Amino acid sequence: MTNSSNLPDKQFRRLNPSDQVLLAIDHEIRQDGNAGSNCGFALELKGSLDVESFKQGLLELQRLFPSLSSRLQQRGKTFGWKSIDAPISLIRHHAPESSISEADFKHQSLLSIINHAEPIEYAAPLDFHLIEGTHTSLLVLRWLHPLLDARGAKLVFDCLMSENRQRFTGRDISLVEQRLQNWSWLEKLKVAWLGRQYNAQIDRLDSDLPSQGSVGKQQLQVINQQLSVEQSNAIMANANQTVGMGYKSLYFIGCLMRALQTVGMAVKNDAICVPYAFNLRQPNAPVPLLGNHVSVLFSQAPHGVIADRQQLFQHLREQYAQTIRRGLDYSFLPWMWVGRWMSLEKYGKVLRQQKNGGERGSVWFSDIGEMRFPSEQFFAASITGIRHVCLLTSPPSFAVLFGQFKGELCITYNYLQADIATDWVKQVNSALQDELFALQTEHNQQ
Amino acid sequence: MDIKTPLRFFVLTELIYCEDAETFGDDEDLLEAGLDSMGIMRLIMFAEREFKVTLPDTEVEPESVRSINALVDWIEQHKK
Repeated sequence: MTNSSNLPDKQFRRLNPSDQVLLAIDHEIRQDGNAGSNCGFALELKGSLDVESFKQGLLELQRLFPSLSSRLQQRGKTFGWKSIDAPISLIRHHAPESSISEADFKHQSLLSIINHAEPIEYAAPLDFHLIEGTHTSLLVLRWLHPLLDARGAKLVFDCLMSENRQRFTGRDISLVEQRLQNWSWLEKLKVAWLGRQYNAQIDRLDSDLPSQGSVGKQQLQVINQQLSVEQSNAIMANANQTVGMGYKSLYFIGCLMRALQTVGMAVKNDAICVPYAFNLRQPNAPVPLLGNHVSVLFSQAPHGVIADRQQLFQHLREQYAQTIRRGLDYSFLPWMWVGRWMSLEKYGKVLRQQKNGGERGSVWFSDIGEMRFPSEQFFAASITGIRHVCLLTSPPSFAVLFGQFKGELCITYNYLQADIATDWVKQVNSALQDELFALQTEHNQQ
Repeated sequence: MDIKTPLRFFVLTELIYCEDAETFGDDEDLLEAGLDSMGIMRLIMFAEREFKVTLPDTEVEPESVRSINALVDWIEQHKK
């Protein structure tokens, strides 16, 4: 990585504390032998994309946000994005005239984009890939996670679709640092102490893992489970009935815990622990577009509790309410601030490992909620679906991402092969659907 | 005790985004404006802490959290 000590430079955008967490994770993924923290957010499109207008949009985007075309640079202990004043790339992938189906071609292309390895100092932090079929295409926004979070990636699409792109600029601040600034030193120390207690509380139980983990290059594999509007509505009704409308994500987490316990994990310990990020941005806010603005929460349940569906959801709700009541949701912010001065190696271990050296998170989880775009058209093509993928550390080697578009729930399983077998993921998918539909099934049987 | 002012401030600074917060009406739809499930939980915790009430989970319905005015009504019912 370039290590220089230049004077203050407007073309250099320093990583914020939350970005630095993701840089440590990127480092961990690379240490495992994999491609780094590549993420993908894709639009499934019907009809022809107006490529020339889209390229003009990318030029405008790069002018408004120079960091989107940059390279990672280290200056002393500080990391940042150094703008390189080059257009944001649009790479086109055409289906070959061969026996491979269009659907398979799109899927394989998406995987090869995310699995593509490049040293981080040479890697573009963000680019677009248009995977073209005959009547449909997949437009993939690939980015390195330290540049922005999934909400930011969604804002990139919103900005490109907007007639007023200027409204996405401004407020280029770190929401983590802004919140920290509102606290006195005494408050910061108190919150940091809470964070330490929170970790200690979670680490009382060792986490189950779906894989032992391994070092060496692996391939990210992805399975998408798309549900119809009717199925999705039935699941949401179950979620409301089981946990109430304030806890929808907890319904997904609880069902996932039960599915994992039913299918069985490679490493069995005391409990299943599901860490999940929460975003400090205000929902629907167009700013800040750049950067990560997330902290983390944990849902954790021991096996005995998971075995009893009713008890599990009661437990998860109480755990979540206690977490918010005690202010634990913000308790990692001071530690994120301190983490910037740690080496990436040490920081990665602090973030992931329990006291016994095991992995804290049994599985990566995300619920991006209902995706609403300013228009149903994207540069003359109709948006018909979304996809969301991410590379991850080994272990846990397994991530389950929930999202919704036009009322249809989409569950994406991301996993590292060979750590995780495809058959196991299919079993988890089947068990998870049984859990998500459980009330409905009971109702139909009566 | 004035409930609406601190509640409105909390909603518009922490939970939903509005380009011009002053023009956001007290009857406008918060769910349409982006209030999500995590936001609802934060809102409940804020109200319980600030206004010394207990808001039962069983009453967390779209009608209770639909707007600033609906929220104020819901909280006031539990202050009595």
